[in-house]
Amino acid sequence: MIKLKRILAVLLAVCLLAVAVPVIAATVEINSDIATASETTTVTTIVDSTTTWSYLDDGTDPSANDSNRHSWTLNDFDDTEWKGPVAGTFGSKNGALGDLGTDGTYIPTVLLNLYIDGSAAPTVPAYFFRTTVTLDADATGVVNGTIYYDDSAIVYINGTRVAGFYADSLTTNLSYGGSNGVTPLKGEFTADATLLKAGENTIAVEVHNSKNTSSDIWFSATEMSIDPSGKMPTEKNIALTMGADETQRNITWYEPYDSSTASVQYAVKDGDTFPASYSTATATVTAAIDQGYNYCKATLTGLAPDTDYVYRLVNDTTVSEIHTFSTAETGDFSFIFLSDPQIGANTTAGSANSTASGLADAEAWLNTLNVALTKFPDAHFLVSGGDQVNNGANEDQYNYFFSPDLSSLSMAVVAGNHDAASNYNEHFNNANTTDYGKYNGSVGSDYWYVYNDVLFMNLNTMSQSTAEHKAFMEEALAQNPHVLWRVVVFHHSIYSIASHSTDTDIINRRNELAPVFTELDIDVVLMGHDHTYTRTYIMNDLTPDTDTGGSSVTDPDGVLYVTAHSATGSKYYSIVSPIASYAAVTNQEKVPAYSNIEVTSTSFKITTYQTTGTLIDEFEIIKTEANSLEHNPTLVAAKDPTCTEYGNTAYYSCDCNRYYEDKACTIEITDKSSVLIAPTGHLSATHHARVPANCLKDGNIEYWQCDACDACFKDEALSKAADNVVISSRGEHSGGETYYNNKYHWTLCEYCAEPYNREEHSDDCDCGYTQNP
Amino acid sequence: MKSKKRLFEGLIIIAILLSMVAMVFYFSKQELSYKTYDTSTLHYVRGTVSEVTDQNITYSGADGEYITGIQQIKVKINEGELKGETVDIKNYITVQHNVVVNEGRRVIVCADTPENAEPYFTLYNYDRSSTVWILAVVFILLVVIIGERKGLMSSIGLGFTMCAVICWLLPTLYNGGNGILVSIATVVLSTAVSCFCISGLAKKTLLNIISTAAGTLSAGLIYKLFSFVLVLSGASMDESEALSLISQATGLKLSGVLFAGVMISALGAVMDVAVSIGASLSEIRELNPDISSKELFKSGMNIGRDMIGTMTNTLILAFTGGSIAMLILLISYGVQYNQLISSNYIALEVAKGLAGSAAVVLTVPISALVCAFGYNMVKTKNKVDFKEETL
Repeated sequence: MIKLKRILAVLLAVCLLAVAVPVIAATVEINSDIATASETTTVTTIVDSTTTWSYLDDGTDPSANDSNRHSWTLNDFDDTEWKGPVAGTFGSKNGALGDLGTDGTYIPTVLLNLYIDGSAAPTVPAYFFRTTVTLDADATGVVNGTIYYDDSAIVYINGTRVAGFYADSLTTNLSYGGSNGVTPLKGEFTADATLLKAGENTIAVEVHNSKNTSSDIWFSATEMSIDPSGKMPTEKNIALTMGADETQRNITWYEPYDSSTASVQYAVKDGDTFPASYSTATATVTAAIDQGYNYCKATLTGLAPDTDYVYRLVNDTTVSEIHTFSTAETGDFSFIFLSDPQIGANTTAGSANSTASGLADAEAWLNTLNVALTKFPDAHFLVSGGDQVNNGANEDQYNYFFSPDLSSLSMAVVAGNHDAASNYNEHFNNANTTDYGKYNGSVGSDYWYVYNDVLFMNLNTMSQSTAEHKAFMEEALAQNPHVLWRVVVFHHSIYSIASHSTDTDIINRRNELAPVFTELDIDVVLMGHDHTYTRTYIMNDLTPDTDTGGSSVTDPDGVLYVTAHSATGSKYYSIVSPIASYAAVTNQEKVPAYSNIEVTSTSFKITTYQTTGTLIDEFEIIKTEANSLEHNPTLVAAKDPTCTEYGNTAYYSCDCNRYYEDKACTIEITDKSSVLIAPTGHLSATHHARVPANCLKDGNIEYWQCDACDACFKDEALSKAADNVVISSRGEHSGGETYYNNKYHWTLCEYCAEPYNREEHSDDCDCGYTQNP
Repeated sequence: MKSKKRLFEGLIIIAILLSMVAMVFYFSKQELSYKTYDTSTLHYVRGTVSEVTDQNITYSGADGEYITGIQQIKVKINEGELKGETVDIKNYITVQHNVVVNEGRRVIVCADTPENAEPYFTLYNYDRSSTVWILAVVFILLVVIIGERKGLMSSIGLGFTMCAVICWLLPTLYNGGNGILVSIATVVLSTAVSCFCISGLAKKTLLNIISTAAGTLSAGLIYKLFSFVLVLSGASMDESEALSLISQATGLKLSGVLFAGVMISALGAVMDVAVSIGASLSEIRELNPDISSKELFKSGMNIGRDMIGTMTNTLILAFTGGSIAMLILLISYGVQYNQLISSNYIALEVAKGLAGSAAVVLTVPISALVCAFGYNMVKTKNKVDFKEETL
């Protein structure tokens, strides 16, 4: 028995191992695939961790006696009085060689003097480092450098500033300034290598404390190397976003230059050269989270329809190459709708957020754009339902997102849950932004634009405040009362069928937002988030109209919801609610998809294709009569109020549900109740005393009657309405004794003693009278 | 001697209660560095339905077991800035939001009140807070009435474990703490407190702690092995997508979340087995002080074998019971064998369920061994010296 058990146990163990070994083998294989990705380049290292630096750490200004603040960075500066030269990592934590981090990575090897008096705050504001690099020949290409610093730094080559890190506030050599990060920060830069000449060259670095009570300081240069084939970075990540209307475009771009001003020069295209006469849009220039770059934002205005434009990006020293874009005709148009490219989410090419993952998704992104714009070259712009990148704080992923040249493609995006970081604000210059729908008070916002008379309202559903989204849409609609279609775009689909459809927040949003869209007569809602295509029936509040599952619907009473598939296939969700009551058409074949949307005044047609070309869905909303773009006022004549009913002043009522004082509809009456005139109330009344009823005649109760409207009341204060003041008569005499004389008989009414039924005797009357013969 | 022991026990209980307060305080001071979405204008407040002014509802589902439709209701808000106000709410009743109310019903209202827009009110759900607490109190009363002093003590033990998991383990994981270390620390600490609460300052307690901790750790080890052979990672959970976003912001480790889940869910069953065997062997030795360690171990194994039968059922049935709705859906989706057996869902549940069950099985020899030798380590008869018992 025991033996049998042992044998069984051994067998079980062998089974486990048999399963485990192939698994381990498979894991190793996957890893080796990734390892082959690196490549080699020929570079010359000029600075590494063994480089010796002369340094000044006594709190004095090395150029104090010089009009040129930067004289200490020049080749001929005499640094023989400075400390060093010595190699190592320079720093101090509370005046000692302590750890600036938590795991021993940042323990300096060369102690810098942290305090001016050597023992206590204030700290030395700035530290100055110099090293000499000797070259055989003039350098070409670029210098790629990496330093670590705490709290801010500027790097110079032969007196020319080549990089600044948190350096905006360093206006003098002894300024305090920079980030107050706990551990040293990594600073990477690329500089023009032609600054380096044959012979001796000086590389100088200044490092500053953020404040006079800073507890630490750090400088180390891990590498600077000359890459002869490298190129200086140029402007990048050009995002041409939709302007307030079709005559405008907003633009954002990143520029690597140390420039404080920037602008866009743009003109109607005329040949291959840039026209001599052009318009200029001044840009704002702000240091970007993407280190070494400023992001610049501007608005191009006054654009004519159906015109080819050229533009170039200009800063203090540089003028970019020529970029182009085209405006389209007014009237009917089409655009591409897609969502969730989510660059960097791919886990088949490499782990999420890895370079391999980003590269794979960028390739798919490029493919989707090419397929869509090749098939629909007339698309006027692109709408994305959010999740442009997988990690909103990862600038590499934004670089991949913009790696297909988007400088000619107008687009409008919303923020998805993966985009929720300040980087989103830096990358996209949205029109008509509001204070509604901000995430954590700053990231993104609800915004709207009008394109060829179609209103696009973009909600930032990173804020779950339906109250704010509703207020935003009401304001946008108030400013655009007459549009052909009302379209809403946001990320967190409330009518999808995959993994996210049962999320608590989604169910809440569905209950809250859907009635608002119905109330505001929204035509179409475009969404993302669930990476599975879903087109709903026409929805009224939360109720689907299941007769609308065909390929078109005419004059629907409700809202159509479309959830885009994944635009890149970086990630797919499985269907979890395949029989959702609201879903008319769904698709999850794990192939990326996009929609072409064609809009005319009476038709809104959505056609959705997989990137392989397969048609997934086609649906058209038809209006038998287009929305009027002009005001269509009807005069409502003045009416006097009555005792009980409202009157009104004269006003014009437009079919856009608004009131205006004038027929041209220029002066809106925003408070609709202001046209009303209150009822006058009963001003005078006549008293009627009580009149009792008798057998034949009605009487009345005591009442007061309004002289104007004849309403009756039981009291003099006219507060108790008297619905019926009549006291009804009995309608007849009845009962009582019968009397007669020689000619007549009659009866005296039992109730009022009046005689009735008085008649002459007849031959056979039975009144008791006997005729004397 | 005995009164001194009582005093010590009292002090330890006070220390346990104080540490619970401290953990709750620590939890209340936590600031979330990342939010999945911004809900700062949303306030979930209590209210009472004062009137159902209109309704249009139908009975849906098989035998009309649930209601769908619309109710127009007035709700009086009972707390917060809007206390005392009555708001009109259109209550949409769907399968996913199935909250049918009547006049007088206490409810939770979601009051969305940004400064720059008109407030927006929706009906969130029934107000279940007091009911939940009443049920919890009834449960604890039941435990105390039937279990008397031990019942009260085990309630304190349970309270401590819940505090440790909610107030310490969760925020630590959220902020990127090491899931394995945090889970082990939580398990060992909870085990110590629970075992102390069950049997006070006694040798039995120490042995129970050792057996339970060893048993639960074996669950962790087995899970690691299972997840390796089944190729499971933190990304295999249904919740991985949302968790990965938190991870990007806080350094949360998804594998740590999985590991913690396995450890915590195995803890109860393992403790059950360890304490039962410990108690049995303690009684046996009490009755038969001269029994040898080998015999004690044999008895422990015999007792444990019977328990294995029921305990493995407990864990596997708990898993199956919890999955019935999911399994019905899977049938309706026409899931194929290969698809089902290799799905993340089944793989995870198998890894979790079997790791727990295997740990229960392993706890039998562990506990029998620990107790058999533990009880016989000190050769005093009947009563063991207090000093030796001290933990």
